Amino acid sequence: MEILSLVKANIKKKKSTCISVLLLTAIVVSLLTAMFSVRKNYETSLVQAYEEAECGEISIYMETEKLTDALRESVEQSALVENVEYAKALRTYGAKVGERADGSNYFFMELPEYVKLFSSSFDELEEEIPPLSEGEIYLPYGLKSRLSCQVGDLITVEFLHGQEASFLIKGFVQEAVQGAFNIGWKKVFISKADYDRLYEACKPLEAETGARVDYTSVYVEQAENNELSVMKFQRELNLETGLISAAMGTLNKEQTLNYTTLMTSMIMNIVSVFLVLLYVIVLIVMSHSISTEIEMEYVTLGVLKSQGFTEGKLRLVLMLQYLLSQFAGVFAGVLIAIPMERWISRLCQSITAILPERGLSVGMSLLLTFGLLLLSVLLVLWKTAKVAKISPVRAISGGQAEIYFDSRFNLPVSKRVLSASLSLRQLTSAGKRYIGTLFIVGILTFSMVTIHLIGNLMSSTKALEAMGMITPDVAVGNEEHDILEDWDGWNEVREIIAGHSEIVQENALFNCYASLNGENLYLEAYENPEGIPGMKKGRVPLYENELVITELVADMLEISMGDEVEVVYGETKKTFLVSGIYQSGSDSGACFGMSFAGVKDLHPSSGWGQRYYLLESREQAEEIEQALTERFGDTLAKRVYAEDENPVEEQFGAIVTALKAIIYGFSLLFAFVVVRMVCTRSFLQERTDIGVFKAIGFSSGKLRTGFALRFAFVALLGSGIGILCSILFSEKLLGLLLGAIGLTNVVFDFSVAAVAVPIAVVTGSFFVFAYFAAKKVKKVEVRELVTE
Amino acid sequence: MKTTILEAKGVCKSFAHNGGQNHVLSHVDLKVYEGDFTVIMGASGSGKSTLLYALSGMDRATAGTVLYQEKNLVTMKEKELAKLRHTDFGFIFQQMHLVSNLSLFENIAVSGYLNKEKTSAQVRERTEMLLARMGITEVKTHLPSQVSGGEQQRCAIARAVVNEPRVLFADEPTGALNRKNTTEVLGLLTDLNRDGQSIVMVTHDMRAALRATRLLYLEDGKIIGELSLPIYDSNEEKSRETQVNAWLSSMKW
Repeated sequence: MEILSLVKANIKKKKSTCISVLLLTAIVVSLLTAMFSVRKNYETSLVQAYEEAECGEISIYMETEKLTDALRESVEQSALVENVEYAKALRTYGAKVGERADGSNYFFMELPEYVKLFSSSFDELEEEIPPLSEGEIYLPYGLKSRLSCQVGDLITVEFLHGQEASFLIKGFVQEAVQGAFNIGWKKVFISKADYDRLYEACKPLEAETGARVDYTSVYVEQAENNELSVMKFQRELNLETGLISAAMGTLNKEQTLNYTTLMTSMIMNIVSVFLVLLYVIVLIVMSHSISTEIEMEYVTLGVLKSQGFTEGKLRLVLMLQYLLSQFAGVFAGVLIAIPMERWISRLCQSITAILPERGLSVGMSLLLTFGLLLLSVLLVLWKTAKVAKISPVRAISGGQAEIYFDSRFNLPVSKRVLSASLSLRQLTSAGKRYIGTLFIVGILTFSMVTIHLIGNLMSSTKALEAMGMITPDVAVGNEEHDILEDWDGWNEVREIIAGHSEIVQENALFNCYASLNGENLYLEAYENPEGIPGMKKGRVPLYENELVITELVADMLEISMGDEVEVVYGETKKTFLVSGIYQSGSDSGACFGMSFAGVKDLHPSSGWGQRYYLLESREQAEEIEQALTERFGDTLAKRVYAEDENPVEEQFGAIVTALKAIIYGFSLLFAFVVVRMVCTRSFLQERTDIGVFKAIGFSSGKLRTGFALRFAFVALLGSGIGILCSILFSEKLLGLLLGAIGLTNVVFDFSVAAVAVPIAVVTGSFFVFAYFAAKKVKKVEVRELVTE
Repeated sequence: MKTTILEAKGVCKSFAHNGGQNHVLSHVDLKVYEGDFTVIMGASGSGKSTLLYALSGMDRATAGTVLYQEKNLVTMKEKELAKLRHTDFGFIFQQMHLVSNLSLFENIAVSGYLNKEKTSAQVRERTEMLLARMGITEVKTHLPSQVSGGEQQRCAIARAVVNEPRVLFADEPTGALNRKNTTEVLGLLTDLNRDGQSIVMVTHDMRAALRATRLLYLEDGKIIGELSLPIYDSNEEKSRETQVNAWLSSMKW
């Protein structure tokens, strides 16, 4: 009973501390609960939607003419296979809505049964999906943000030879297999009449151009008695039937689940690290609070001891005080998590294109929360050990010894900069008190700098280059997507370009899917392999029998530099030597690269249709475009890449913005609560000094400024630590986190803004919050400050 | 004819207490004259410290006025009061209240630095002079926690007078000192008063009261008695003590 009375009294007296602990816990728990709930909800919904799609374990796209009867038979007869389904698909080469263009592969299909229509508010799925009329189209939800389009917009799709067809967007559907924002191939759905009409119009063009539009989507379901993993099944099936090698591309269940939740997982990973850091801050704050509380309540605790309270009881009181605040924080956090889960779910929906389950995944979150609280218990036990040292005799005779000590870092107090020099003195003479704050600021700055760097990375060409993408200044091809490899006008194109700017690099890129050691992977082939970006180890594949792989592929196939591997493309199988490791974001890193000569060796009819140029002076690109148009007219497609054009930014912009909002928002909130708590504590510890300063004539404004300045000093110093940690660890940390999207080797550009903005935000907010925390200086009379 | 430097008219001070009001000062009228060593006495809880804080502008009266140079301290802006504290008023606390992380020298000099009319060098010079006068030059670089209570209080006196205030307020300045230190501190205050320093001091120490040129007795928030004395002379301490004792007895002290 006596313990409860003391806990009650303590909570009443330390209302501000309890509220701060409650708030900090609530923030962490809300973020934790919301994040885990979103992740769990998406995983559950995606698996369910995938099962309902009945697309088996593997979805394969292949040119219909390659799907021979013999191949069909071998697949259908395979003991590995339970069932095979086929669907006709018409391949297109990009689409645009208004000015917004997308060069992905679109496969036009008739509407299958499993596809579900999103409601007009996109927060539920309709029971029935209305059939399509001629001229209408259903798009997967992932295209909504990719093409910035709405229901009722007109989408124009490009076929061979510049043929176009326009459709009215009737609605957005949930297509679980490849509907996600970040999956490059998309199934779009049109009426049977439109499909047949387009097929008739495009099929004859195949012979003229050599390119293909007539595809078949093959869905393969694994035999029930097989217990192979999806990847193993795919590999075994390919070795047995050659289906995968003959295909243009394959997407299996594991990949779909992985790619669809890739971005959300990446967000979760980054936020999880942030959460860990935030909880470290909570622990530091609690640690600081317990220490100062014992220091400030020395007399009370000593008197209680003299009245018969044991050390254990006093520690229990402190423990209960903090744990009750945290429990209240857990409760508040769960409540806050309800709208937060909805917000994050909605944000992720534009990426996953799946309608997630709603609601909190309370069980798992509470389990994690329990783990966090356990850490708190251990911390309180550790920090309250000091209670044992409290002497009732000393407490009764006035309490602790002086808290200030002489310091070698003390600088003289100067009249000219009186406030600043006094602030500095407070800091150097009680440095220990600010160590916690220093770490807190360091952690916050580290988080901010890191997220700022991600933002910068995503909005600069460095990200593209790091992900193995080319950022050309000028690209030249033709509207018909013909193979231009043997075109005799290239010398003239080169001369025209060179007349305006020195050409830094001239190259051509050919992409396809090919089997590497039985695994169907994305292949990037460069005419000039020395232009392969993102090399990490070894060297580029200079010879026809060499290739480079990503770290992901190296791990997946358990191969490394110097190994011999087998590549199958078309009908040919050849042995290659792994000459190096490179980094590429294509297919989220599931890819390999070689010289175009190597591809030709495998499949002589392969050819590229576009050549790109990197210029010494990018500003000349538009002039070059004009000059090329004057010479070749409109038949030659010239593309000048604008300075601000960045597909990575477009793709990840929303995520980075959301991450920035979460990390900056919560950092500021944390900074506010932490500063309020730390400042209030410091203010209470120093109230007598402040009262004395006021008594000798310092104005409230001056004292508050001095108080705030001191925290700004600490914040500045802490920011420095944060920046140092960022320089040392951010790249490694993000390499781990962004590895999922193929970015394992992140090189940051530590620009002035990347460093200055977080420093300014943290230091500024500490100054402002500390200034407000010291508002009592103004309200309280000197007598009160000195005598209380 | 004495010059009034501070005048309280109908000063009241109440504190909220258990949902009600605790009236500590009740319509106090008082004039403080230039050059006087005014000592306010009274039993514990009589309101003497509260009156001192109200007179010095450290606390605002609930009602009434405290006039200094025709300005009312009760309604004065916070900034003006701050200026007053480092130009015209000096204050000595019972518990010294030196800033614990500043050396004795700095404790005194910081007050001087607030005075914009004096250069840094002038402040340092006066600080050295005061340190010498208070006999604490040898420990000037020490922190308050490293010196005795008497040395701390002497430092507090030096700090209070560094800006040559017109009025020096002292709230039981010997309350926390031993006999020897008490005598030293009172000696310093008496010397300052002899040099023309106006002092208003609150005490319940008889020895301190003897230094007064004017004694006021406060009871239940009201001034109920006053006694005028000549400037303190140690040779006449005995007779002065008898006189003051008699007066205090008449106040039922």
